[in-house]
Amino acid sequence: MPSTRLLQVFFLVLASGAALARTAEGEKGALTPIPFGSEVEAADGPQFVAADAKNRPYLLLANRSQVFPVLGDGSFGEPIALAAIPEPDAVVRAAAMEGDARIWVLLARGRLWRATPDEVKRMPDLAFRPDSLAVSGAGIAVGVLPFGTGKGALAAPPRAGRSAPLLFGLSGDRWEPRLFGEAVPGREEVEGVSYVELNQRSSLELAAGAKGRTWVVNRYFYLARSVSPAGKVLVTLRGDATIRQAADDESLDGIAGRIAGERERVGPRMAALANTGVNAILGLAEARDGRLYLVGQERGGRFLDRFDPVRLRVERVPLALEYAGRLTMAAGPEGLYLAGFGAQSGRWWLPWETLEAIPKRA
Amino acid sequence: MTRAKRVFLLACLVGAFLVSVAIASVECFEEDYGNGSCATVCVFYDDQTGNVIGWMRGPYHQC
Repeated sequence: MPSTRLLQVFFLVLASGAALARTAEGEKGALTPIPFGSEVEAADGPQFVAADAKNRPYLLLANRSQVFPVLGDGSFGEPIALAAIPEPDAVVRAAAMEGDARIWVLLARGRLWRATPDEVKRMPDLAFRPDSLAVSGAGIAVGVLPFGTGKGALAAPPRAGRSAPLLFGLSGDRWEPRLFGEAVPGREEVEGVSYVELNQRSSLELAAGAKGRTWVVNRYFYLARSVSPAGKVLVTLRGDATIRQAADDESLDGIAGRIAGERERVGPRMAALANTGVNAILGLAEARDGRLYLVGQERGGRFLDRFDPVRLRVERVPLALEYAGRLTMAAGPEGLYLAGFGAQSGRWWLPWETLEAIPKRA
Repeated sequence: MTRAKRVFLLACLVGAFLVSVAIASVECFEEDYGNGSCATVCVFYDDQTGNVIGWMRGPYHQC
């Protein structure tokens, strides 16, 4: 059956290409994203871009609980005010729109919230720590890390050595595991470097796909999977499976120093662990035609991949983007919209006519 | 490079890292490893990129 067939795609990541090793600016054929929404004064806190069911893009400024429609000329329309999470200092780590710009699912302090203009409601707790989320036509999908929270209903409690859920879906008021990943760590597995590796191998970026599917992409290495609402992996796209460590580029001691300097904030008996992993995938979004756009990075620069899951074809073009953090992305009528995590980190768009030229440029 | 220059450059690097810490936020969680064994873990985030900078893990304790 075409809808359930398991497709495996292997493609060679162009790691050795000199073009990708250079800085993005000035690269031959590189796409240059266009800034948008600059008329809103610099805001603090995170921002998230998403498209509604009618393909219209919106930007959520989480600290203000405001949702701005993004207009065709890149300016903002009148904002929609959402009810705020009743924890003033909570930073929203992930957000996804439920098809309507007035309904958002938010992840803050390890808890999930559903915010509308009238109210914000806390969602059921998860048995594993939530880290990423997406909302497709089939509902909410949450990517989790393999660490038990001691909360939330689960058919079987986390047990060391057993495979831990990687993705949950909400069914009624109950979270059900949809995809499994790393083994649940016991005490010995979470010691030292293993803890860092467990985090790096389990951290995801998610995006909604058509027909209730969810794109599940690993943050620190190139693995993208399209997962059905029932949890079946429909398409797998594999790139470079190596987790690049920042120690390649900068002093490991320096990163550890950043963490150790924070010891006073959390307690003297705490052991510092640096995350030296470099994000391989920064963000992703599925376009209306079903093609997946991914922004990633390799040594020296960012790139944009377009994956056609029907023709099993990947096209890549360098991206002239200095920003190297997490992105949210949305496909709108005019083009593809990108927002850096912090509201001051930047927001950009790429017109469709420019994107259609990718095969000629790549 | 003289020892004095090396020390100066190192001090500049340390200073830069301390400044960059100012944009970090922290969230602490209780992690449950089963069999009644728990540990407190604090996650440090870069607030501009959303990236996890690192973690601090406390000693094990009874959940």
